Amino acid sequence: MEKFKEYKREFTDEEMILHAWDKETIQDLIGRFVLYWGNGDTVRALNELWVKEPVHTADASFATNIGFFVGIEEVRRHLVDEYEAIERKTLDAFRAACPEKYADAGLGMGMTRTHSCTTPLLFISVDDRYARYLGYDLGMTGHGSPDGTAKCYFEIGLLLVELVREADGWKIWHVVQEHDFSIESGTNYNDVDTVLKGYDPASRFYGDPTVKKEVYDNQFGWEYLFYDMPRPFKTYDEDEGYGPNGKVGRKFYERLEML
Amino acid sequence: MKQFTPEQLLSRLEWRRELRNIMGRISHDYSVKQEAEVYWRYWSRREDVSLLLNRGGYRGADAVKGYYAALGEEIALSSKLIQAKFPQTLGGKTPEEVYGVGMITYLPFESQVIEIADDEKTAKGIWNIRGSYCKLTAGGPVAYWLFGWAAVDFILEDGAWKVWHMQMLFNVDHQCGVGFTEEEKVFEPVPGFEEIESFRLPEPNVKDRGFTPFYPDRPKSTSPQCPVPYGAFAETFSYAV
Repeated sequence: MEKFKEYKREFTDEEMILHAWDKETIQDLIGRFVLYWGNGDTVRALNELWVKEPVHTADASFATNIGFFVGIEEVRRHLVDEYEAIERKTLDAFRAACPEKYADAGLGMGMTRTHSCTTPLLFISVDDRYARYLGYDLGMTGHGSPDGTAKCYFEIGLLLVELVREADGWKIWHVVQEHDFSIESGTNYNDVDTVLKGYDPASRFYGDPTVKKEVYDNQFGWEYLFYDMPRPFKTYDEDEGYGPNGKVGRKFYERLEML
Repeated sequence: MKQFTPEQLLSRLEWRRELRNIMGRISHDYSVKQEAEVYWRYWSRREDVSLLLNRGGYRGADAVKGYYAALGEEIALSSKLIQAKFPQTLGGKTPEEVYGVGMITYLPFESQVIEIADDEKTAKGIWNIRGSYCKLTAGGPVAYWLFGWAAVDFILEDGAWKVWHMQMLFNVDHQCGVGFTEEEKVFEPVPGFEEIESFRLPEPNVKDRGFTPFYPDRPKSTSPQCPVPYGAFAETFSYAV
């Protein structure tokens, strides 16, 4: 803890109010993001909540367990296009099975998901320009089939979010979604051999990242480290951040210098 | 967007905390089986209050009040039946003492988005719910999973925030131990608990609204809208039924 002391800030009353307000704003922004994301309103999320300034959009990123989508258009490809492709495939399966019944059905039929942000850690940099957030993403997914059944899961994971203050306010810059495990509703999780067989039904959502590298190995779960948790910090540091060039995702034995 | 002075922001911070506290208190009231008090403790006394649930809408003070009162009646009946089943442990207790025994409801509210109107007369919020509850059935106590949302219009009355319109909608409200879209298990009736089957909540007085939990070929369904910054209530959407 000793080394954190140098980041302790002194505030005037007015600065403290503005700092507290910034934290409220960021908390709401993340809440809005997970609600939009769960609703499939990802175009709106990108347009309203993500970075706009070219200096940030160039390396904006979204990471799933298997790599980073880098650049705002790649983030869009993942959040919007790749999910829409899953919706399309689902709809096509229903239409192939019952063309007349589902002729007028729309995208999103037979699918559902929720995301959340709970138990947040949130720190704003000393220079007031950046913020780091960590919360649990405890949600669910459901995926229907033309045979009248559906696979539904409790989805358990983490969201690490790096934010930057742009001209019109706080924006999401880098997100790392570390998906930990899925529990199929109605089943006993202990009947699933997660570690030995690498059971991971959520891998269908990981997509095809721009930079393929292991970000989170949920079979053994050792990349989620104390060192990645937000803590008091001075300013943005690419190495310490949640973008594609940072240490996030490296195994602890590759980061012994941080011990 | 309107700019606020630090003093105004401080008030708004305090109000946001108060709005979260109201939702927190409602959540904990459900947990300790105080649902019957929710209307009296947190709702506006206005006539145009409304509550939207999956089963439909309750529009007007009498309908909302009646719904929460009925939750209390269900708890009282369940408590009486459980008491009779466990005479050794509960037999000597008064109805007040056994009220809520053997039941629990967890409605954690999280992932908030809150907006307070620029005119400071109303506010709006939406929260995720990821909870569970256990209630008495003819087959004994049965547990259920919940995934959904609470979306609320608040109104400031005599310096205190009150619930004006609420939507509490569930994407999943399904028995534990079976898949979210699978048929729920029917348990053999337990002698002494059959009476609970005759209990009915009041019918919604708005029947063409509601929400259907996920099923395999359900059309795309989403949460209630997220609040957006607004000046006065007339300029934004309403969660009213």
